[in-house]
Amino acid sequence: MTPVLEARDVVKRYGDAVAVAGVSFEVRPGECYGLLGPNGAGKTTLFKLVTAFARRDGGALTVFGLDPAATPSALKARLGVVGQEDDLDADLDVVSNLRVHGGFFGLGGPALEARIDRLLGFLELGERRHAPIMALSGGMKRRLAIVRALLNAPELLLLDEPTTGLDPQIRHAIWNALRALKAEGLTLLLTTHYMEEAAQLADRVGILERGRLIAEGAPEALVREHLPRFVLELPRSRQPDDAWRELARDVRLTEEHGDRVYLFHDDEGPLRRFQAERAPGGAQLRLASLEDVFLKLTGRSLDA
Amino acid sequence: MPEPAPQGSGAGPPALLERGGPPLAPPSRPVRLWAVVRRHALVFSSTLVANSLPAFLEPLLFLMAVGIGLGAHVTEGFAGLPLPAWMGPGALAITAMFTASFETTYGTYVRLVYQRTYQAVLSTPLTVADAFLGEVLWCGIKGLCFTSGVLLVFMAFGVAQGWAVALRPTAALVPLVGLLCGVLFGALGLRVTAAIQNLNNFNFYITGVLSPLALFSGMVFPVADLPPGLRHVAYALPLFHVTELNRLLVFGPGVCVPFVWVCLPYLLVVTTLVTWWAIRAMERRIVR
Ligand SMILES: Nc1ncnc2c1ncn2[C@@H]1O[C@H](COP(=O)(O)OP(=O)(O)OP(=O)(O)O)[C@@H](O)[C@H]1O
Ligand SMILES: [Mg+2]
Repeated sequence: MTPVLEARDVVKRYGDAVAVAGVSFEVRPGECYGLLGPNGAGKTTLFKLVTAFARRDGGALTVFGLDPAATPSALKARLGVVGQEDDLDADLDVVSNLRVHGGFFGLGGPALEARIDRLLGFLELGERRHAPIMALSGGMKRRLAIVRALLNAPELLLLDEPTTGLDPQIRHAIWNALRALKAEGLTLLLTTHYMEEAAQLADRVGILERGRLIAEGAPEALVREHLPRFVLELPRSRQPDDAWRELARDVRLTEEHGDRVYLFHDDEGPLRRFQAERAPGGAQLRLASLEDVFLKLTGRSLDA
Repeated sequence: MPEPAPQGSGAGPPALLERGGPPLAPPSRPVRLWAVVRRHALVFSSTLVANSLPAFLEPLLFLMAVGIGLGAHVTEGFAGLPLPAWMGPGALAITAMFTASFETTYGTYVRLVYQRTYQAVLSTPLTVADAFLGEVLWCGIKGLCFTSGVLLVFMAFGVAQGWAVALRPTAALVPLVGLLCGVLFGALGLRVTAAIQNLNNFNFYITGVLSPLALFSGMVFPVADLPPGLRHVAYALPLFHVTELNRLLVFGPGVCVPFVWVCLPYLLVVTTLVTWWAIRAMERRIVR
């Protein structure tokens, strides 16, 4: 199947700074691809390259087989974009925002009105039709931005950190909405620095760091590939003693980051025994996660 | 018997997205520009009074002050016209200039930097050129509307003061000059906005560029009365040509400079060049 989006060695520089340093990945029809990376990794810059807000310095980038640098309008007509920052039109109310935005796609009349009604209902904004943007909460604004991005029935929806700064309830509501859209066959490309979001939504994730894709795959597969199944996370409050050394012989992997030590093992047993018998308070036994993969690959935390 | 429970359609909820059709093609250039103009018109109409009242009030007060105040002392105007009649074409030009200028300086800057309006606009099929051509066009429409309004005020003045007989039917074309003037100064404002990093810097443009243009436009006194060096500079300035064209349409060639026929081609060329210059600068500012 031809990919919806294909990036090959994409490079973007700002002066001497390299924001995207040769990134290659593809987004396949109907999948949700998650770009995971800390602040400044280059996630937004990649989106800007897709929407022709930034000029590419190298590599090839196509969406629907179209190069944004060559045919931006034809490409953007088929794209939905939810930006990282609030860019709703503060001079217009909710429904006017949507009508005007639809107009930019050449849409109007009863067909657009029907779409507006359906999508406002879908994201539970029906009662806010005539509210000024200023009167909306952060969660409502984000949902409205999603409604707006769906007006042109896009074939690919870009979401730049769709739930950053929102409360857990709204976050789950947005995740549910995105899952429903995906169930209809919509292809999604989202960026996030929440592990949980990537694990919840993405079929595949690419981990982006300092403009490079340092790992890629299905979330569980990535964890399996890079780490044993279980991890015991300990505060590094004491010098290692004999018990540590004994366990260290047994564990598959030890990582130290900041004031934490991470002991990995394929079996829960030895870690649990150690936690019960020897570990200082504050130790936590859990399944290894994408966050641990990121820590292992980069030596720093994603949320940093 | 109880009513049977209402049945769903059986096909599940209606699809959120209408998928499966042919890919959506981008709209044509005129449709895109119209969509931008419509956006501005919608915003404008929701704040109609606050937006338009000062624009009408200002030239009205000006004409009143000059006509009733200064006019009482200056019995003789220029070119055989009483002073308020002489000044009318210039007031019309200035109305269009300032209306358009505020739209694309403060207005555009706020949209660009604080409201991120163009981030959303440019995520659609619209290009930078579409967005700002549409904006400049909107400035033209505003120029046309405000010029029409002030023209009516000006004509009422003529009736009240008894010089309305001097008006020509071609005065009906003055709003079109207002359109051209709106596009020109909309584009010039845009060019300034593309270069500016701080809202306060517009003060330099307004008081340092637009106000002198107004003073030397031939509104208050004939540019021909200036000493030669200054006169030729004033002849080169765009607002002089707008004023002169208005004067031609309102009072006929008798009160104009002999080369009044250059005014329209001059304005058309300058407007085209400035618009092109402004859009290129905006492209460079936005697309990095
Ligand atoms: N217009 C610009 N001029 C100069 N440098 C820029 C510009 N835009 C981005 N950068 C730099 O490029 C790098 C990548 O930025 P980008 O916004 O793509 O990161 P991000 O992954 O989206 O981060 P965040 O999670 O904070 O949104 C950063 O180092 C940033 O400072
Ligand atoms: Mg970002």
